[in-house]
Amino acid sequence: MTAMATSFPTIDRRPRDGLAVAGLSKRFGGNEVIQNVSLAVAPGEVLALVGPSGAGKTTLCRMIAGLESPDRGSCHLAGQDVGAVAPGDRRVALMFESYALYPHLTVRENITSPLQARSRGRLAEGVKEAVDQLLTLLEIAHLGDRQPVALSGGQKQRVALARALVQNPSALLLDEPISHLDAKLRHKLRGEIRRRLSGKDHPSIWSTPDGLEGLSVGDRVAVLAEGRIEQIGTPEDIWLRPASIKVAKLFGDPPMNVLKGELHSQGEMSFFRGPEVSIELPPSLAARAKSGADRGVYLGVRPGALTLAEVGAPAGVPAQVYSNEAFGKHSIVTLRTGAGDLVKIKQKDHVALTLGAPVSFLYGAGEFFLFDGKTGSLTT
Amino acid sequence: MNNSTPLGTFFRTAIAVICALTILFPVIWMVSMMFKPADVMFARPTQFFFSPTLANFDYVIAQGFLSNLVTSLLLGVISTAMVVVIGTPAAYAFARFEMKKKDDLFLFILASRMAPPVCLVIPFYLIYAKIGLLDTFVGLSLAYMTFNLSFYVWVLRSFCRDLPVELEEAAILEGWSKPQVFWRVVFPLLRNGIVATSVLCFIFAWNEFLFAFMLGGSSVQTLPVAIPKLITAQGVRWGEVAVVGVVSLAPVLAVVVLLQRHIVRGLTMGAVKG
Repeated sequence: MTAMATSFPTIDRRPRDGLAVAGLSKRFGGNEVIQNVSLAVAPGEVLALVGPSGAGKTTLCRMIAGLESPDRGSCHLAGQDVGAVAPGDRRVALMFESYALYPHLTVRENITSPLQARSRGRLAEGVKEAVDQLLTLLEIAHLGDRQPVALSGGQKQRVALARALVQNPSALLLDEPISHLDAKLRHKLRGEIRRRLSGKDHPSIWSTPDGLEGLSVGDRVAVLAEGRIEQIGTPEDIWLRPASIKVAKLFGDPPMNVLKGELHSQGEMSFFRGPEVSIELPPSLAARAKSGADRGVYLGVRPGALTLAEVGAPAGVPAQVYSNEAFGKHSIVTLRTGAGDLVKIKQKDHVALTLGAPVSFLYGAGEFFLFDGKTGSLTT
Repeated sequence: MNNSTPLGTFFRTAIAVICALTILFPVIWMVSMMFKPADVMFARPTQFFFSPTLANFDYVIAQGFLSNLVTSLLLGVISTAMVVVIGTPAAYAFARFEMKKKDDLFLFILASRMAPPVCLVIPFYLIYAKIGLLDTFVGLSLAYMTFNLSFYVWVLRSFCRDLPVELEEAAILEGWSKPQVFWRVVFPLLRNGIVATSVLCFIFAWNEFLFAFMLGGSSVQTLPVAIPKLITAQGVRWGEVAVVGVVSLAPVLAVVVLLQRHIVRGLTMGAVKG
């Protein structure tokens, strides 16, 4: 007991190998919500788990924590197979997406609850300071004695976050930890929490539906879609080489424009022919284009690589203004092409445009992404 | 409702007062009867003003009604306490745990309450006669317990199901043991439901007549069973009946007033998502 009291945070075994899941599958009724998921997170590493809602992020976290048992596959924590270990003994800290705050306890009692559980009711030295520090970091220091009923959604989320961060677990799972906070606080906490987690010796998973948030908080990013891992890689990997259309569409604000079309080559030059457009491909893509000349392809273009032009500009694609959003430092114009597709353009300055007015746009020399017409995966 | 004129307020208040008086009139009448001397009890025209007497109370106490009162109170409290102790874990188990034939079992529990009491009192009587539980305190409190238990489990199960299961999951992950999760998380959140439901159980036991009449006797006699003692060969002693009636009302009113906060919360829980 005395040993526990002197060493806060209490660790009885050091995670050696972090977290590893292999071949994890889970079926609810006829729905296979998690299909053959394998991933590993090293101690001190933050894995951003990015996926649209319904992709299975929460189910994956719950399986790692032991709240759901997988149909197939294994889960290792600190080198130990935890398949048969009870949830309470896995020492996984899970921040629930729904917060799961105890309504009858104060904010402070909520946060210290996991520490009390591990130390049989008695709190170690230094706990109060640690909690105070967290409350200050999360800007809820003035709410310590309130009950969750008296808190707003964002405040509740921060209490739940504090309750997860105060623990010293074998793995930390944050299920959409900052989704309900305002933009300013999100910016602050992304960096602050990442900093804290990097100094720890437990692996962390940070789940989010927001691709850019994933890129900014993760040492590596795992993309989950419809229960399957689409891609795992560094943020640079994901951004520069998205493995599939699904991945590409998750990262980017606004998401990448994707057009369906065909590849044609004329002598040395390769062209992408889509509805009403013919685009000359840069040499790097031309080589791939030759191999798949007869197949349908998808061309991905980030909104920043498109530019608005006058009606009738040479090589301009005619379109109509569909919407025009000003964001201050940039603006996003949505155009409707003659074929009925919506194309988004991100540009630096805000230009006054009449809705429905005819304009045209140019495919600049920016990067293009070519995806296979059948599988949707990046052609290499 | 902010456009109320003084006149409108007056009319609304008047209507509320009239409604309240209409509903409360029998009770007020009974309270006035408590203090009425026998000779003006049914005087025509009705005398609303009379010199009050405590003679009715003297007779009631002399007849030993105090012991009936204690019996009723003890029976209500003890049978309800047993119901809470046994029923709360049962309701929680029905709400949360996986078990075979759960729905059938639950329907069976409910069915035991659906049968008319008069059907059950005969087997109860025969069994109690065989094992010597007739006219015993234990026998009657067991009977009330079995009767209330099904109702209690049935109602409390829905309170349990309204609790978000993630609270318990969070506590489990934190490392609390199952009993600790129940005491730290489930029980405090169920408290309003437990209070509201057990008050109903107490009121049922307090008001019950048939079982108390059939299974009780001279040594265990509850208040409702004792009232007919006031129908004497010389006539019905109305003043004394009124005294016993008001006394029967008092504990129920006291419980409701004292626990109002819990009961209202309990009865409206689930109506609005909080």
